[in-house]
Amino acid sequence: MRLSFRTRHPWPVFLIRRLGRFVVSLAVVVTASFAMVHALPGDPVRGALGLMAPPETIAATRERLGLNDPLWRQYLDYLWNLLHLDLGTSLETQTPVGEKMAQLVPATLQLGLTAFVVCLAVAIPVGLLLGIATRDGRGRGLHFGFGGVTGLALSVPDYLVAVGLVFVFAVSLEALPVAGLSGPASFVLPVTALVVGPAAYLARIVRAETQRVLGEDYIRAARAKRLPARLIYLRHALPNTLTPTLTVSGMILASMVAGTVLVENVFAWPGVGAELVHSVLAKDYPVVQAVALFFGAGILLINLAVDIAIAVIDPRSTIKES
Amino acid sequence: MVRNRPFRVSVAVLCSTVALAACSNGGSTGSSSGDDYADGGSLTIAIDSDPGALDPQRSVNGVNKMMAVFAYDTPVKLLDSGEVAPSVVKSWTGEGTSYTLTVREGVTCSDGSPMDAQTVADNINYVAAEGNGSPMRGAAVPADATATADNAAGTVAVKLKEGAPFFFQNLAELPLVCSSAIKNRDSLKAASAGSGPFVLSDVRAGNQYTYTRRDGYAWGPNGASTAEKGMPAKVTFKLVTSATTTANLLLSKGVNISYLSGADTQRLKAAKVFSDGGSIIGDELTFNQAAGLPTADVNVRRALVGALDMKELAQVSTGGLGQAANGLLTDPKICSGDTVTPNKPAYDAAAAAALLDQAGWPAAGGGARAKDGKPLEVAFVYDNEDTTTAATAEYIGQKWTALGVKVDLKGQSFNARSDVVFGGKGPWTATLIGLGVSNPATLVPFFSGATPAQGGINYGSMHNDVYDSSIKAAQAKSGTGGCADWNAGEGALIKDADITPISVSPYLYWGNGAKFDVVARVLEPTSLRVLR
Amino acid sequence: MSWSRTRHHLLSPLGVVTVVLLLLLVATAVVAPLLLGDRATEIAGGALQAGPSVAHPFGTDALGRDVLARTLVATRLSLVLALLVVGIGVACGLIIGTVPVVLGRRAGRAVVAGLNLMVAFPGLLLALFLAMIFGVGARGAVLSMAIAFAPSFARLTHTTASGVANADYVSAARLLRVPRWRILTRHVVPNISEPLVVNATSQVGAALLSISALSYIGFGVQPPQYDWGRMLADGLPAIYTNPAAALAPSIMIVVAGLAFVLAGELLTQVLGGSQHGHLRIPSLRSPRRDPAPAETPPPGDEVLRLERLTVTVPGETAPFSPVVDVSMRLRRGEIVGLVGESGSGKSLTAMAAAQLTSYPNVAEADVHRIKGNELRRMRPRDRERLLGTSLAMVFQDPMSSLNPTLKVGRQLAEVAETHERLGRRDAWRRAVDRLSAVLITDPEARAKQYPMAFSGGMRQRASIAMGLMAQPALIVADEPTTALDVTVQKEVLGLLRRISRETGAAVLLISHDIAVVAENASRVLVMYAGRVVEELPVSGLAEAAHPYTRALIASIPDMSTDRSRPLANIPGRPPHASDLPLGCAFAPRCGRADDRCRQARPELADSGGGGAVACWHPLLPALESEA
Repeated sequence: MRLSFRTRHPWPVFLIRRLGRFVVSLAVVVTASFAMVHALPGDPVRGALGLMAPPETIAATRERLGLNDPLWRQYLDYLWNLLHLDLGTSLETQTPVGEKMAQLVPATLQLGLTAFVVCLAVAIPVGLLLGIATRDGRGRGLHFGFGGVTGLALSVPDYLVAVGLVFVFAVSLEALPVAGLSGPASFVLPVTALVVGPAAYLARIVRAETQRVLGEDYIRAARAKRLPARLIYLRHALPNTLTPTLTVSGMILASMVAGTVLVENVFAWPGVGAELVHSVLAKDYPVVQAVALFFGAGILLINLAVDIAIAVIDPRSTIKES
Repeated sequence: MVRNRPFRVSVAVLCSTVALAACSNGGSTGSSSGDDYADGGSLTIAIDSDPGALDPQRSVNGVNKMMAVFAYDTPVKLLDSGEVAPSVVKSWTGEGTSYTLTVREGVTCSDGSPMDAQTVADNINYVAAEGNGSPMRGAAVPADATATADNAAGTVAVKLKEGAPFFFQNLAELPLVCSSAIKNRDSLKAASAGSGPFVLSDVRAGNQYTYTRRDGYAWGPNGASTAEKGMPAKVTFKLVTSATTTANLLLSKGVNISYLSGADTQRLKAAKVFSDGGSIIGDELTFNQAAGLPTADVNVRRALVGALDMKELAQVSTGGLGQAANGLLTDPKICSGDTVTPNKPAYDAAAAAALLDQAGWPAAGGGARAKDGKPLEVAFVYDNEDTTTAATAEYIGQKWTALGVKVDLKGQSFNARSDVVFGGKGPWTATLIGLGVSNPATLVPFFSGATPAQGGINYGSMHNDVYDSSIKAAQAKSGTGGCADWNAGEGALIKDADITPISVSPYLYWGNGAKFDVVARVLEPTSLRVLR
Repeated sequence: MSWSRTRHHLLSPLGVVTVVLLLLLVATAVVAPLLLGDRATEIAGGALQAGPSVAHPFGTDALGRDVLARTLVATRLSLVLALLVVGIGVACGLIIGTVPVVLGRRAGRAVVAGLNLMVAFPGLLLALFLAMIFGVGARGAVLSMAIAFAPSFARLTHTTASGVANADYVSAARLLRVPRWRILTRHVVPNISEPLVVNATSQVGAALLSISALSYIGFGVQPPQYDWGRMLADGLPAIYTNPAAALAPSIMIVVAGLAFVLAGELLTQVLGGSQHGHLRIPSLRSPRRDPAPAETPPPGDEVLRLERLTVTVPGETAPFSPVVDVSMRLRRGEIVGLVGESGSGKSLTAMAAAQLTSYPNVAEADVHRIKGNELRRMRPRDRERLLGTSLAMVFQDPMSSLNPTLKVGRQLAEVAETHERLGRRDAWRRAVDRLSAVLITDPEARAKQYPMAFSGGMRQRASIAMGLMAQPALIVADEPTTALDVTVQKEVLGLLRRISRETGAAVLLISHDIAVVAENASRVLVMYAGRVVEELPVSGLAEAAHPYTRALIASIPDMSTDRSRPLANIPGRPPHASDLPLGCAFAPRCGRADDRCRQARPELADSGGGGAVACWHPLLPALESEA
């Protein structure tokens, strides 16, 4: 039997398909954000020029900025500029959006990635340990307590956590910086605010997955081999919990990026998130589009990375994909 | 949203368009002696929105203006007394359509070039030229101005086609850029080129902006120089959007100076944080008088205003920190005087109801008012980005509902609301607007002349005969000489409930580890002192 | 889902807390607007943003209205909005998610691709956009959040539904040309509803948080309406001057969110049937009637000795023992079959014999010796070592008993690494050697592969090879061929026989198929309802004494002595171990049963010919001829 190219070369096929999907998705995000930002109410030009500006000045400015062109033309111009890495000029502040993004993106990435790593570093061990401790219905009190604590963590909005943390640790105890990006200490509170909910969610997933995996036949087989507990949990159970864990982690990172919108505001973090709400309100097309592109591309990249990571860790998935 | 935007574009352009009369100073005066000052220190000032493009003559953004005074001198400066004080221009003469400015010798730009008469003239001509699209055209500099310099004599002659009653006061709004920058505007995007006491040294767009002290600057107000003890060597403007966070930072000295209003100021006050400033007018209630709307009827408008307890409403609209307004102008007022008390419909819910009955909107069963089967409906649009504005709108809505009016409260973003009221995008009957200005002349196009549909900004299709005749008389007079007429016009607007000012609240800059003066609502850069 | 189980869950701490919280929320949502509606909108002059007082326990808001009353009244709107979001989101998600299942593969793929794209679009951004486009307010917030929610729900629905769609009954319905919508409503939706209900419930909490976040940033509910998020938007900026005003809605959001998270968890337990039962299982063993067996030194060739093994499991209401008083002895090189219907306790016996009884089940035995060592008296480490080297397990499903994420060679090698302290390379070499011993071709390459590259028979041989990594004296094979094709079955059983012959390992062969046992074992233990009812040599099967054994044999066509008789079936079902009849457990299905059978349980007794039987009326050949 002649094997198909797919079967012989699962990796290139997988990567090409996956990258293709990435490009298409990105195109959709770009197009959708363009379409939606133009559907927003309000006139950014009037906002930028002020209430005193007479209508003809507003009309002239709109004409100059190409905002009176047909939508398809504006779209093509936008794409053309995007291909030349030109994100345009903010209607509100008259500054190049690219420069601003170059300032803000690193801060958001630092915050988001730190939070992500902390989230994984906390949730996976906790979930794993709890999964082990509550396997086969053991430790019911522990299980209930864990469910309660993580349920509570899931139910507190991140902006409330942020405000509460500042209240206690920065203002009352004066133990940590109030706001801003200044040094390692300044990461503690915003990262905590971002991590609490997602980490609780992930820990629940990991615990449930661990419990599921520990009930699998291959774990019974490993126990039949009389392997030490360490090997059973770390070598046999953990890798099998990783596929769903990674999938959820991807979603979590995406939601954390969204969480930055409110948390950055509370901590005066010089990032993209704080810009999002404001630019949508001001209907500042180029800024909204740049922010949407950043978040959209970020989420898509995360998904891509997760899929590749799963393919590396779980040998079943590349084949499944192709 | 926790957002605090005192520098909103629309207001900022207008409210700083200047003054003669007294300006109250709500802050305490510095009692520190030179011993308390630290040399070579640095200060951080919080800003609540991004200044955007830094060319000072191409932006009307309030934050931009606040920062611009650090790097750019103006021809003259306004004082708290309302007087115009010399700055780059040391003396001036003229009125009507012809003015002469004499430029101080020895003023230099940060690039070393002289800030001479020619440069001042070039600045005036640049802003006045229509093709340059400066939003300051018509505000800081009359649109029809032409300036000619005599460098040898150090004088600039400015000719106008029409008279401008507040020419010198408006000039205090014009940041002067260096001659090199007039030719190369792009150089102003990431650096400064002015004769001010500081130089923009670092730009992190959307995050922070750093200014460094200029040595040898000695032409500040009353000869203030940068050699004073305690002058900061570095001033950083840092973007902090949340007011609560700003207050936290001020208290922990993460920020040294910031403008702040609202509930958080109570904490600062309790912590005895230094403050200086004045007061600012808040929202104003105004109506759409387009034909066919119930509010085209003056009795309906007066009834709607008369149903409101202004004292209580002033508390709501300032979070309990301010008081009822007594006029349309904000500090520093060009024309002082109480135009509200004699004109505003008195608070009397019963009288308001009677007035509505009289206007043909009787209350039917259940209290709902209607005329010819058409209910009395008010589409009340407001800017929901500001929590106190939202509270004010809700209060008014509740009172009107009690009166039998069908109120449709519509909170929108500032831009969307502006587009409805000024751009004709959607129906509206009443709105809260912030036209806080110091100069009564600036108000004219809002209350008379062309409607937006006709190419003007008379957003409410208003026509008030008394106002029109009063301002005609006022415009013929120069400076404060026309104040009686300006006030009469303003009174007419309030009497017909075309617009009703609601409240004034403190306008304060707060400082922790720093001292400063706020002069005519401007944070004076040469007054900054770093405390030990 | 039985009522007793539901009640059991509702009375658990989780159940009580959840139900109380939900009831409180619903009661508040229903009652508060009626009782406090006026108070919540009443403007108390002169007390703007006041702190807590007797009249206003949580202070007043920016208009001087009572925060507590407003918080309680806002419960209704907050909950209604969250439920609407989930309702609309679920409805859209169901449509998008299930339709491709019945529309066929191509349409399905297109929808899935679309879903993947939608999930990729930043949810918050989408919600902000839509809220502005729909017009800020409660309606816009609900629609935008519902649309932002729908894709993820659709994906979940689709994943669950496609699992069901591949199920046999749906395929059968398709073959029968049942209309597609009917397949959807009759077969797909009912079968995916449980996980979706669970998910939707926990999503209500998430929706509540999202809507309040939207209101908080000013894109949600607008005055004069108010929800908790809206109240937070007003209260949170003043948190340092009047914290009480922000505290009240915060508490409610957290409590409501928690209630729905817990409700989701509770539903998972009630619907999903999670592990539950009594924490402590008391010993249910019958008191010993005989004196303890003399501690005679075991014969040299004894490999496994079990005396009076009882396995107890937690029941729904009370613990019970699916395995009672099972005794057995295996010698070197002997293959002993353990047969019985499913539920007879044979697998539990096998697991207990291998000391693999897992929590919360408890196995107890008077004697449990392996290679002459009494396990209960050994130190844990020695015991693990002994079991690791001399006992091998072969499980029923080779597809699931090999770890999918580890290379086959690795899974073999680790046994030698752990118990014999072999180096990695030596252990690997042995693994390759053992793979070749179980006739896996090209073992070097195969060892480097993952289990998914192995066929079912190869996997089972690999599991046997895994058992051969040490020098097993006992192989416990629990239904080793049930999941395999007939030809492969023969291969695997042949392999077991060969290993037993060559290495002298004893094999405990568990099977529901007496034919398999008859062909491979030398002795047979027949289990029924947790007890051994007959023990006999394979050669004696045709003359088995117990009616049940006879019935088992009769059910095999090719073993039947008389082919002219119709295929014998055993009427009825075996009783559940928690509900055993008083007398002989087989009596209700036995043609020979009489009152004695129904009153008293027969003990296992010598039946002659090297066998034993537990029956009042054994089919002894001699007695039969007498009768």
